[in-house]
Amino acid sequence: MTMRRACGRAGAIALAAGAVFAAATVPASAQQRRSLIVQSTTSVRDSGVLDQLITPQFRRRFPQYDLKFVAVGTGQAITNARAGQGDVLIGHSPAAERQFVRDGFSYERIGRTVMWNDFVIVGPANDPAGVLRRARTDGVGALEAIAAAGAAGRANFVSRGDKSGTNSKELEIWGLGRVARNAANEPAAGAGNPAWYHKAGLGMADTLRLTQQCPFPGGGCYTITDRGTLQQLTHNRAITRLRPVMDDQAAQARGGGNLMLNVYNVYAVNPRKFPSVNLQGALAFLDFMTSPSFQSALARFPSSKRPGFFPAAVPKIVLSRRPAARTVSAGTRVTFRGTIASAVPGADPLTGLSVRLARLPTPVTPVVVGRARVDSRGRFTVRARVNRSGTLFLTTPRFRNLSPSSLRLARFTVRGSGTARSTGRTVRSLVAAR
Amino acid sequence: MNFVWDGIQQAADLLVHGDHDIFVVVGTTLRVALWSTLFALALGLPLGLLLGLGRFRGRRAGLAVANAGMGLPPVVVGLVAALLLFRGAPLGGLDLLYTLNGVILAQTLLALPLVAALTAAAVQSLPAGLLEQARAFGASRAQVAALALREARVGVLAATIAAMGSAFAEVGAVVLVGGNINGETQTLASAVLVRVSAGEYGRAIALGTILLGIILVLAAVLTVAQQHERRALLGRPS
Repeated sequence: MTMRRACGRAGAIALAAGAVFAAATVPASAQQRRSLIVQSTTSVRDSGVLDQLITPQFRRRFPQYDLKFVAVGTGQAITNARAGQGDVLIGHSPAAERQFVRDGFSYERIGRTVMWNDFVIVGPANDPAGVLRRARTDGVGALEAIAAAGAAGRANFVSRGDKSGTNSKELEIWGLGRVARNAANEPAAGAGNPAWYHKAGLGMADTLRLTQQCPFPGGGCYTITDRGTLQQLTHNRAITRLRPVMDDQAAQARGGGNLMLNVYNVYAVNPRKFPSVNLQGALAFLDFMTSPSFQSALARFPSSKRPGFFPAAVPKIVLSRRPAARTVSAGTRVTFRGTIASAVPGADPLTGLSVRLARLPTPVTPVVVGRARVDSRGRFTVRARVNRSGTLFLTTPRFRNLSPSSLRLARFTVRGSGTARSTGRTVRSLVAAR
Repeated sequence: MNFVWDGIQQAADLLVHGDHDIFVVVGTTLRVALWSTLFALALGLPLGLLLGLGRFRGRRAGLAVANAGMGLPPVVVGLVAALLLFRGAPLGGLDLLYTLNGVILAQTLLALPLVAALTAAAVQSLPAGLLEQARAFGASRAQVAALALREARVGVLAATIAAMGSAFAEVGAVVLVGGNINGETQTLASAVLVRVSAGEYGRAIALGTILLGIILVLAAVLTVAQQHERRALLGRPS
């Protein structure tokens, strides 16, 4: 073959390769969509919530935003958000988030709670540190037991060591115990960490895998994890030899009953700090994460029986008696009693929260027919007179970290008055129109 | 070890039945590889020629830098690029962070020294008399450079394969600059990382299998071209 022909052949092959590339080079469309950067903790992605709930639902409802979801440890997410590298922050590290808010990086005075689950301490089935026996309901005691077994050469503890939300929680628990520790609250031995304490520098899933593998002398590795990631990995059979040894913190245990709670909050980054922030998009994202449709999807994900997270955007209202639809004469007094609390267990009572009784449908807007305030024990009593037919709702406004809510009570028909037509208004718009 | 077999089956399944997400990731990967290789060639070939054939002060230092650049740590490049591209940073106005163009930029920076150093080595290993002869016949600089490039094309193709391979395989800079965003800046290699994190080994193996397949096919195409060149240069019938 002559050189010219060889060149021609090579050229043709190169052209073919180029065509393969070109076919893959889809024109970048929709460049005019405004980008919305979300800096988030990894568990939202690793649990499948991002890919299966957030991305499809948010893109459908807000096609005008180009959602860029960056999943990193909470520490890095906060650092990135503080550097103006994001419009929304999703975190689960309360102390670091409080600092974020105090320093003025949050647009709202307080973050919005989205969901919660809990932290559990996992270890090998033979449990060489005896956590199951001694400290099944005491997180601080569990770590102390592991430290004691570690010092005796029978156990190891694997820490994320990456300033993630889980790592912060772990250090908080060490800080409550009696194990010698350094300024960062890590267990200390001399100038460094004890031989049984290992800082992985990995994400949650990789840390769990390392813990299961346990390549350390003495064996018997333990770690702390959020339940969502553990369930996901157990479900995938990526983790088969670890089991929860401490997963039911008692109210009287050190650190209190809420020590192992894992609460996820969302924040819009303050445009006063960074004018480039897409505030409109950020608030749309916050509204979306706290919306009834997303929250109810969350409660069923991955299954209703074993959700990875529990929705917590709105308060939980429990009525002392569930009202039934009935027909009454005009002017009848009605009374609704109940308790109202954050969905996160052990949260402060919602003292002072205003509860309103509203009636739908109405010609234009819902009519508030009764009001009450929640007392210091989370109880409320709201009274009203029923003068017209309609469906009664209890509504609550945005309050602290909680989003507005509404609860359908019952339909009341007033004798002699015309039946009001349905206006097709959603419960959400009732709250928004308040 | 069921994961490996499951994964290979999943990969076959995905390729046969076509999964939209996979096509998007494959498309992203190919775009990153194509554009970063093209940009690296466009900048690296002249640079390599200059370093290989030029006669100027600092040429050796330049060569040393290019050679060292072949071992440029991707995470460092990613870190520096990401910090420069932060909003408010010197290059923040370009709006490249967490975009595909940003990823392509970082990959170009990584591939550039590969192309430059390998091109310089290839043109330097040409028979000494060849270019002298061309110069003696009055060839201009550009003509000499074109001749050198043509004669050294086996080495230049090796540089192309190296640049492309780095673009396909790299994750550090992709994750730091691109943010590893599903459907936008996630490449096959960085998608493998996410799947492993989520404990989905099967899907990770599937993605890895597809990545390996693409690299094999493209490397084979370029190698065939390269070997044709070599035979032609040796003057043997093919």
